[in-house]
Amino acid sequence: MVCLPLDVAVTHLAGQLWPSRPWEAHGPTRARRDWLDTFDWRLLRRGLRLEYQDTAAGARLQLSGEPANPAPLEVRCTATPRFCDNLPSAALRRRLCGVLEVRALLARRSLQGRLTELRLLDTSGKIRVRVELWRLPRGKACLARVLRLRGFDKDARRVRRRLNARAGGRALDADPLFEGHASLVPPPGAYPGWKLSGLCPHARTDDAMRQLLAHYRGIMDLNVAGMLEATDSEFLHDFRVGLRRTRALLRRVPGVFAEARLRPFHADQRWLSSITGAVRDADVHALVFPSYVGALDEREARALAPLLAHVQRQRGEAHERLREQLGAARFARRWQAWARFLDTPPPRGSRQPQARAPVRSSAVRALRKAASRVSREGRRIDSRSPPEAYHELRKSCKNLRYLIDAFQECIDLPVLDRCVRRLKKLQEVLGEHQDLDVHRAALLNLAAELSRQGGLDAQARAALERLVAELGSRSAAARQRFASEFRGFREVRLHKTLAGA
Amino acid sequence: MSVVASYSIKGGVGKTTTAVNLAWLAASQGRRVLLWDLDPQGAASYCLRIDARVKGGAKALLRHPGAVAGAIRASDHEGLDLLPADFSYRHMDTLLDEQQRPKKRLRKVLGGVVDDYDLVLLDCPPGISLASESLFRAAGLLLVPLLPSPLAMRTLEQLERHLARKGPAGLSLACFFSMADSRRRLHKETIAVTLGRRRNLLRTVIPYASDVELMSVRRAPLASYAPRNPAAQAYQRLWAEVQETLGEERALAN
Repeated sequence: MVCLPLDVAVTHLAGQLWPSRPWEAHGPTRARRDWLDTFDWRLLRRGLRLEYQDTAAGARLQLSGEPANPAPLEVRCTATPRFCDNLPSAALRRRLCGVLEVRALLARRSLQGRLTELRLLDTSGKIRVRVELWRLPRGKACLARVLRLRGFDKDARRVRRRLNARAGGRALDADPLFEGHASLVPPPGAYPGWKLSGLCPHARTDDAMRQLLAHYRGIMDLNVAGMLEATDSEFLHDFRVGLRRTRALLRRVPGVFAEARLRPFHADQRWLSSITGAVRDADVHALVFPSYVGALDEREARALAPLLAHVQRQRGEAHERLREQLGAARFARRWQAWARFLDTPPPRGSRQPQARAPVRSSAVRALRKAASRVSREGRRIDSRSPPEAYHELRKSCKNLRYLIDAFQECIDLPVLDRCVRRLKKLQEVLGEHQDLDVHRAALLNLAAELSRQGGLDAQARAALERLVAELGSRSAAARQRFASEFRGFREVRLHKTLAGA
Repeated sequence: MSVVASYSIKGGVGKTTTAVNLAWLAASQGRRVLLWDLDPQGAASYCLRIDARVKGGAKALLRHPGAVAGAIRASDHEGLDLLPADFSYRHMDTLLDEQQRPKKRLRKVLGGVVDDYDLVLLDCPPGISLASESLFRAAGLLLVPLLPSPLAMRTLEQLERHLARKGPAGLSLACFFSMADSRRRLHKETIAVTLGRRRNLLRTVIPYASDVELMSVRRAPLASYAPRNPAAQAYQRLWAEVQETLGEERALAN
């Protein structure tokens, strides 16, 4: 990109770039360039840049920054793609799906302006070089960019040199869409993690808890807009994770705040959990069921297409309901009330039993209880236990993980790292078991619902039976792995180690 | 990446016109298309205003498959690139014969750009030779334009017999009537007798049109300057049928 004087005339510029050759000017027309990336900058973190250009000549996507492919990959498209599945070419999907996973592509930055294209022609009228001139609104800048035409790089280099040297222009280090206005673009990794650093072990528990809860609320707040727009299922997911972490802290570290003050917030959190839970289920079904169906043979997958369409419909309806509920005054009012509670300094002379205790001792006590609960529930499980027992254990494991994440820095014991490693493996098995079980039941429910409406034929029902049986055998396999993973967790002996901490 | 060869044993049947127009139609729908002008006459290159010249000639392309990427030129039409013709392609048979596994050579050459394009169209020279055998192995679909005449049908049957005996397993053949002149009785009768009776005969008939000949004057695909011309519209229908044959919609959805 070259930054030109604002008053540069197109004909004058063309004459300067290659006087002996004819130039054609097309435009100006309105045009837009969007920098597409996920909300957590997955592409930028890998050095990739995906640009969407909408010009009079049509829309196209350009992927650059791949070390193995120095030339950008350009593909025409009809609209901004939202998810990996919407990318218009197999080559783009192959390159990006592993990076994007389920995340949505969002326009992280846009440049709008008027675009003029200059074309250098040879004697046969063939275009040899294309130069784009972007005039940004309100006289901000006039930017020139030489486009790559395969096989005509030498001419493009010559024009680029002259553009820099003779047009009085100023070569920019980089394309301003991506880096020219760095202040507008949050730095990569700006999305905060759940762990809060700098928590002092000797701080009062009520102070530390407020800091942690305010941190969680901040992250949840970042996700509210995306959750309302339903652009990316991960906004809702992260919001719910924040909600679970909040509830885990309040329940597992009791005696810190006055129960009467917390009671309305407990009710709010239950409400939020229930209204987001159904939507999250619908999101997961829409994300996961296509992969289950895709693993079937082509005939069976075709037969189950109505089921997948039904799942997508349900997801849309669920998000619509959530939008209404979160758009109502209740959410805004209570969300602000929670912020006010967290912003208010705790009373210095609090009479709550744990409020003034050092956070480290409160955390150790909470962790010991949570660890022994996991051990107790896990010991009770055998191969005949109902799925509910696994589910309860999974919830207890999550709570233990949330407490470790919250207090690991101020407890500072190596056993916690070992415990997290083991706990992750145990949670994987429990998660897989429960997801498969729940998905099996959900598939059967959906099939029954669709059959009542006459939307599934015999072939689809047969395919569904096979799919459900397959999920059942995978769930049984996960159940078999449980015993060894649980043994691994118990070997860490977290409960005993914490007794001496 | 799908590879379609516009091929016929006979000359002057509309192979180049077909290749150029289908390539343009595919590119205008957003596909990344490479047209390889294999005919030493270089008519497709001329129509796209690109010099029929490759550095090092056919020898360089065949010996160093990596050279193909450097020889490709962007056309004036977005998404459509050309691997130009070169007069040295007239020695293609001899040069292929010097290579190891000559029948697989053209496929290997195209392997260097497999990731860059969604569709490759080969504009083949007439005749049947070692070069034809090699492109049969490079292509997934042979698209054969036919003049509506008994001699053309006879040549098609020769080709079908040859492919049945010696053709590669994955190759499909689809043919269509081209340059059909509605004023000629022979053309009308041949089309009436044949259409719908051959499994691999596409329904589209490309009419004879003087606008098609103007491609060499305008040096652009017909559909780009005369989209309402009956021949241009016939090429659109032909492209739709070719897509069906390729099953490309399903492949793209995957």
